Amino acid sequence: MPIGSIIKKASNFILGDERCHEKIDIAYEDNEILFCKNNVCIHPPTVARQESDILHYPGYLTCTTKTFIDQYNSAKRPTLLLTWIPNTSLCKCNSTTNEGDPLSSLHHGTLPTNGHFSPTAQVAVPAPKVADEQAEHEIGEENAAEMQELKNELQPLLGGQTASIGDLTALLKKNPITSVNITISNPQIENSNISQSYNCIIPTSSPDNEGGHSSAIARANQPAQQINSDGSVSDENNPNWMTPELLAFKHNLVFPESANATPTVRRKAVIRGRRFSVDLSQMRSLRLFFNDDKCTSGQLVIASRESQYKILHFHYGGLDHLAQVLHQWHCFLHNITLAPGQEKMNLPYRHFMVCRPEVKQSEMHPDEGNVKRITTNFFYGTLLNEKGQIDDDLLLRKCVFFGGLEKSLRKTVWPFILKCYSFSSTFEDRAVLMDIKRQEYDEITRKRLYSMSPEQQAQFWRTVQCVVEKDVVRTDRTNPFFCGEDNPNTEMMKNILLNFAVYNTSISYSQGMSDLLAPVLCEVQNESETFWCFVGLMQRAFFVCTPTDNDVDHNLSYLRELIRLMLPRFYEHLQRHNEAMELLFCHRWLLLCFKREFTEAVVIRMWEACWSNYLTDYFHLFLCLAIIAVYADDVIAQNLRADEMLLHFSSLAMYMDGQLILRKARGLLYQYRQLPKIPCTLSGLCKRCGPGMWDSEHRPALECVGHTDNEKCSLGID
Amino acid sequence: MSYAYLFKYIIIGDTGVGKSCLLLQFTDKRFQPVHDLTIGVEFGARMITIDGKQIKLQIWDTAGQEAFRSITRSYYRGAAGALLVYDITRRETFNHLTTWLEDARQHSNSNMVIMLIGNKSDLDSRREVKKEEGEAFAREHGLVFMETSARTAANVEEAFINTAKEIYEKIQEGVFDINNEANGIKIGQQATPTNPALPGAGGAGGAVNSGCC
Repeated sequence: MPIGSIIKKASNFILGDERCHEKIDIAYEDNEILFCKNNVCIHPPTVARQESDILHYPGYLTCTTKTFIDQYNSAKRPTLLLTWIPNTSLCKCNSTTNEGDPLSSLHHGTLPTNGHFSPTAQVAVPAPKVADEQAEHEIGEENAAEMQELKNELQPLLGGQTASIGDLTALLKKNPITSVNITISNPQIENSNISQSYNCIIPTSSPDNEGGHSSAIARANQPAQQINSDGSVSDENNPNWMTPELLAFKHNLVFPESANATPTVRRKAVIRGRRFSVDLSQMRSLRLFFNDDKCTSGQLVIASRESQYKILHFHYGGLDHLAQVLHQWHCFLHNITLAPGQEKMNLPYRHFMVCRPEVKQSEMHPDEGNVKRITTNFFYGTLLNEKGQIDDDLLLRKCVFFGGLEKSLRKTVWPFILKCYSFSSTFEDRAVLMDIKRQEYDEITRKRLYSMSPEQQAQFWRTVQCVVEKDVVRTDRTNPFFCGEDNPNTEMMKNILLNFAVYNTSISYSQGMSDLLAPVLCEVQNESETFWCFVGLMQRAFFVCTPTDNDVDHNLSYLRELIRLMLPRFYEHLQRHNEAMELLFCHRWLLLCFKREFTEAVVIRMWEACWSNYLTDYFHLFLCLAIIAVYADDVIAQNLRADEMLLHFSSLAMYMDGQLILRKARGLLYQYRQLPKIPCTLSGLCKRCGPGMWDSEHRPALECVGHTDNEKCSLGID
Repeated sequence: MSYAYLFKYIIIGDTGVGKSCLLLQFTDKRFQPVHDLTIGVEFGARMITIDGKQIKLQIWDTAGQEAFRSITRSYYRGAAGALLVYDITRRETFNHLTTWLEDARQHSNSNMVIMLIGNKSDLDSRREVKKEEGEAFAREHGLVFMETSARTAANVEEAFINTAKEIYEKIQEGVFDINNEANGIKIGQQATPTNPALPGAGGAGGAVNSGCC
């Protein structure tokens, strides 16, 4: 494809905002490259690694139009072909870079082509305002700057190899598309309203917007540490060993080499170097996850009908542009006329469902962003007095709720918020208490080992011990703290669980507990102290629920009521489907407090927010609500049944933006607490957290609604 | 990528008998001795061909010790096939089969095809349950029986495919009402070649029709 057409295309996008109320008059040609972007990464999964060890395999992504001819009935239909070629093969193989349209030549043979198509016979757009030559001139002028930019882009990706400017020049000459693409894929959207239609995003390469352009370059020149290496939002210092790739790998979600390949391809094969090419119309879904505030970077997740996934990371912007291209393609296929603000009515075809989670300022808790994470200095200098007491536990809990704890403080602060020590205890009190608790713990161990009758011993072994022993070696194995054979930490985990079953015979042990214990043990490390933290954790008031029928039921009925109250559209959806009210998809969320849904770093933030007991004892339910609020639009749009909902949310595990969910959940809690009236069924939701510094409790008026006829109204009971 | 039928399968049995490993071996052809314990339900899928028809198996891998009983019921609902697994090296997992079977019969439709699987056949030296005992149990309760090894892949393919064959035969015989999705069978999407502008319209069905019935 000649460079001029690309610029023409780019200009169409640039000028799109002026005509966004008109029909999108784009005639697509066959084999036309609609989108291309260099250095789109894949991250191959490995079994255990730290955040810093993430391997980037950059490659070149293109999106090309194709005419697909059905081999059975010769029906023709336009489709998009998405191809990712690793940089390694781009450099090695000359044939991929020496022609004007190198990529489409590669595509020959993958799909039958039949020349041009123009299904709607529309006239192409009138000549864009930016003349081709002018644009080309512009690119010439900026070649040096772009080269620097490209160098900056490539440097962190190439690792050890330092690319010289000469190499880059050669690369640019070989592949002019790259340089053009950098220009158009760095749109400045700070000034535009993101929530508008995608057509209205204004890229900066508009010639009259010089300021914008330089700012885009400045941004590209910013150091790379700003970009989180796995593309997810995570706390610094936190190991982020559970990545989407690893999860996909573990759960058999990795994509086969092509759409036509059998899905049983051995996954042991190295994924890095493989070209990836699919017909997008054959995919079950395409999802774009934006993970920066500017909505330019993030992940493209492609799901096949076999529920296999491919994750492409856009660390350097361009994802917004892809969203725009897909959206226009969608409009073209469906002859959709878009007026500003109308995009909601024309739900994108689900193959091109674009997911752009965002929480508007107005939806957030007013304190959001004003409360900082607790640092070591703040904790020891301000929160803890000279005797070691925490005078203002409300402030501590508020800070934990909004900002979280510095990693090094977890060991110290968790025992407080898990009720192992009281806030008013002094250093000396705690030293004494720790000793007493250790003795008490040793006593439990002794009881378990030596004072059971042989029958009791046999019974205990059968019902508890053999399950625990099987489970501890299947818990957080990818966490370096627990990996390997005969790991003493795994032994410690086993002892704590067995002792807990002896200590609390009514709860005893059930599967899932090891998952809750592991992160606490990993931080607190001392066996006795971890045990007593775990005891606090297992009390419903401070955590989600013990995995028993009553607790899960109780939480689910609260959640149903919250959905009815706060997310009525989703509630209607649930009403339309059999058994949907069982909320099967929330089960694991509640049981493991989101541990399998988000990466470890953000899960810890969620747990701390729940444990802080700030404003509610049921913050976990607001987290559930937030996930639904942010990620259930697809569910409603596709009218998914109960089991499909379960599939939908399981497929989102580890792909969701946890920080965003936290913000949304805090906002929802704020909204909830502002309601003048709540149903009596929810009266217990904000009870036990106490009035805080106020003389009166949070007490909205209660309405006697929401419970079924055979249930007693909880008014006056709770 | 298109299919004529989709069958929902569930894998049940005591904790640690190798349910997730069987699934992984079937969908992925690999054995992973170290994996996280299953909580709730995890999914696997694979396409197989029976009688020239593409059939997609959607497999629900459940937790062995599900504390929350009302959730368990939802797993069984709408399953066309079940693999009931025990561990040949642990007698108690065999002893619990009756409970599992009662649960399965109670919560699922009566036509569900159940296959009894004695897993870990590679560990013959540690065997506690004889093959004959498994066969006898299966005969007594009208199940199909097979010993498998998720580690060596022995019989894994066969276990899943034979179950599918039996379901397919039941469809042919008209035992299953395929229009009732509560039976755990879905007909593949139809091709709609009349509207070529719709992406995916032809792709889902392609030449595959909704079977013979």
